[in-house]
Amino acid sequence: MRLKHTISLMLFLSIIVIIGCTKTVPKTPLEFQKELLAGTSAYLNTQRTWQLDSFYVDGTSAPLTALQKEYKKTYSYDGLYNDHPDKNIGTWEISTLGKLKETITYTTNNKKDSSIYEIVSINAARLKLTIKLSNGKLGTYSFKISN
Amino acid sequence: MLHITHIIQKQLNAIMILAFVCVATQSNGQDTLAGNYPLLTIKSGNHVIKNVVTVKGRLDIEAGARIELIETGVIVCEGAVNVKGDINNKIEIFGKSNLEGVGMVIKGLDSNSNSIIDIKYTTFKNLQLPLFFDFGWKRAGVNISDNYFINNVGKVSVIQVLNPPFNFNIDSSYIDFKVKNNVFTGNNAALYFEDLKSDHINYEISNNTIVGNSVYGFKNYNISTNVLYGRVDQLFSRFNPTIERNSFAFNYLVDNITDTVVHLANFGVYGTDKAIDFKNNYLGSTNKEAIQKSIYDQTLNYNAPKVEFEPYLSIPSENNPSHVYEINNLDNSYLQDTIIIKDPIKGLILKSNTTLNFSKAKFGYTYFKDDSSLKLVDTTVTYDVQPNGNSTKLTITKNVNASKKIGYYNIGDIIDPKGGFIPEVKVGYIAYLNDLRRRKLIAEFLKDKKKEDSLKLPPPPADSIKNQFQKIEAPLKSRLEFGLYSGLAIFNGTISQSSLISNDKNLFNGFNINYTIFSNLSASMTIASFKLSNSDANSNNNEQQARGMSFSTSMLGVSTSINYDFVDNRLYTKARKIRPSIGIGLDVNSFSPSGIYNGVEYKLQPLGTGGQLIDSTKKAYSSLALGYFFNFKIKYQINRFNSIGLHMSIHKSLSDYLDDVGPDLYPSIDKIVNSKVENKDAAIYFSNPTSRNFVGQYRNSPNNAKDGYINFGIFYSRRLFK
Repeated sequence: MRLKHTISLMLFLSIIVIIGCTKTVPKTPLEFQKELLAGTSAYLNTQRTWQLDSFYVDGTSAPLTALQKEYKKTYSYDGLYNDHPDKNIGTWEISTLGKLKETITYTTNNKKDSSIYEIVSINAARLKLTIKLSNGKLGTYSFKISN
Repeated sequence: MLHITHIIQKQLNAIMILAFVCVATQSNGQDTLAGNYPLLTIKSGNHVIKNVVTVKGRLDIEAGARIELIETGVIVCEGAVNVKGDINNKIEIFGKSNLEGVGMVIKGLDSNSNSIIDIKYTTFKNLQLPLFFDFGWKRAGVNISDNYFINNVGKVSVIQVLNPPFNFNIDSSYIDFKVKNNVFTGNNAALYFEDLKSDHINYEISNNTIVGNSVYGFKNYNISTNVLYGRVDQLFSRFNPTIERNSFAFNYLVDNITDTVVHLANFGVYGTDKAIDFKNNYLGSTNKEAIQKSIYDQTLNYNAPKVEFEPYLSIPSENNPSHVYEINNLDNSYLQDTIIIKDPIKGLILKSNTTLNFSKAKFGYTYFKDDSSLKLVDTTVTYDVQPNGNSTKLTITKNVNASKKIGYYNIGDIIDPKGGFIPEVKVGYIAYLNDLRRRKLIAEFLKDKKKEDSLKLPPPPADSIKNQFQKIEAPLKSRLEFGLYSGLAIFNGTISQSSLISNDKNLFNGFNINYTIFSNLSASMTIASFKLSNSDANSNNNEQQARGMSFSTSMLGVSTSINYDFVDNRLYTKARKIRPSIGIGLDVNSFSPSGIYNGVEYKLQPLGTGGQLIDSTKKAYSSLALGYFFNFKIKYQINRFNSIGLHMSIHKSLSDYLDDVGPDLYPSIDKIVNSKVENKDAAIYFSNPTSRNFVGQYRNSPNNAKDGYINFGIFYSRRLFK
């Protein structure tokens, strides 16, 4: 009888410890960066839209036109991409931390193009990307969240 | 035309209703009398007297008046008194049940030398002292006739007449004092005349019916324990009292302590005179010896005058108020008043001075249910009435009381041919009172015995309701029990979902000290360490999923509780090994919610995720929270010292920030960026992890849940000391 009680008690304790000590695996920085950029895939969190806030060329601010101020990039959690008001569509991927590759098809000429941005910083509300411009200068794009 | 008729009809109806209301108010209303009156006329209707009402001059009470005297309610008359009812419309002066008023007091010398006291056709009922002629009173005459003095509760006197003033000697005038044709029945006291023989008062006490009274006193029969008594002194020589043609029957001295009948008690006299005339009265019997027993005079006390009662009447006069004066068996033999009725009788013959009307009579039989208890059975007897002039044969047609216990018969509501009141008739009442006394003694003895036994008895059984919260005579250390608790903690608040089991479950550990206060009451203190965590991602609520918040906090809490133990915690029996208890208590918890941002764990409170640090009107929430809880335990007692069990407690926190998410608006990202908050990226993220546009909305929506948690698991406890 006493043995039965002891076994029951031990069993119960084990269950508690197993359940109580179960830990969730934290996200890797790469996964986290993707979620910050494009959402988690949870309800109403399947995409994120970033609106252009400022633009710098070699560290010098280049004033935005009214049309440029309306420029938005939308990244979906499933890798799809589009922008506004150009209405280019394509895909995105971050295979290396801090490297954002966009493959887009221009709606104007149906031409495909691919470019890799450096993610300078990203948080839940701000995104800063840099890229080498065709004239060899460094372009820095700063976006703010626009969900 | 039709319209006008209709209006008139409506108005007439309204007037009729108004008149009815007025009449109803008048008939049901009662007048409260109080204070001093120079003259007073009390009209027909209901009146209430709660205090002393003094009438300096003439008092008139009209026929049909009903005057209720309550507690100290008394009418003090200092002048003439004219209380005259009609034979068919009597005046009633009565005491309130259980708050009986006093009665009427006649006092003082009236300035009007011709004023008289005239009281007729009046019922004095349920009073303490219906009529009191106070010392020093004086009026031209007194006439008390055709009245009923019924069931008056006072044990002093029914009528008490003290002497007029001393200086009255020099006055040749005198008071004619007549007490005639009255009924005295069911009273607890006597008629007392200070000086029956007097130079100032000429008493005539005649044609009265004085039956069925109980004069309360002690076991010794004396002068004052008679229904009529007074002094006869040689000092006075002018007026000998006239006491004749009265009917005395069934009057007894009743012992104050035991409530049992001691003696017949008709007439008592004392004083220095040698004799007093008491002739031509009916004295309850035709047997001289029996009559003598009802009189206290020289026969019992050599110093008292002799009562000359012969010749006495063998039957009461027909002119007396109607009453039953003798009770016989069906064979016309005399039925002794001391008869013990165990077996129901077959019938009675009632002898009365006039014919009687039994049409409304109630014939009851009351008997004890068993041998020794005070339980009574009241029954109504069915009977046939066979009148024969002034003798009425009552044949009982249906018998009860098969158990043969002592009882008595009671016949009430008999009326005379004119509808007048007839005193109640009781048979076997003396034996009933004796048995009632015996039973009361038994009951008192048993009560005392029970009380005595209860002191000697060991403590009542553990489960007795009387045993709840009994004091424990045990040293402090033996009342202590120590326990180790383990189990799971589940958060239930803003970041949680309705299905409890779907929330994160974390390990809970605690240490408990339990102190037994009373047999079924204990207090305990628990120090617990556990973790609470949860994530909106676990939720099945879309809005919560979209919010995307999560948290984790270490909790260190001290809880005190008071517990009701369903089983007496002093006892250890194998029959009661399972011992449930419930309790309530208070928590103090230290907490510090945190979250992971980009692989790094951040404390959330310093980030001001609810905008606490960007708004000067706000401040960071306290990381110490008060709370309350309800707990339930089932303990299995392994042996006297060791036990194991299951526990569960439901906690509610008074803080909304256990999960960091309180009733705050989503903060502005720009303000966070421009604030002095360190780790702005983390602050921005935790304030709105999914970056949705929630401007103007609260962070703790959509369910606005208050924070709390549930702990459950197992425990082991042990008493360390005997």
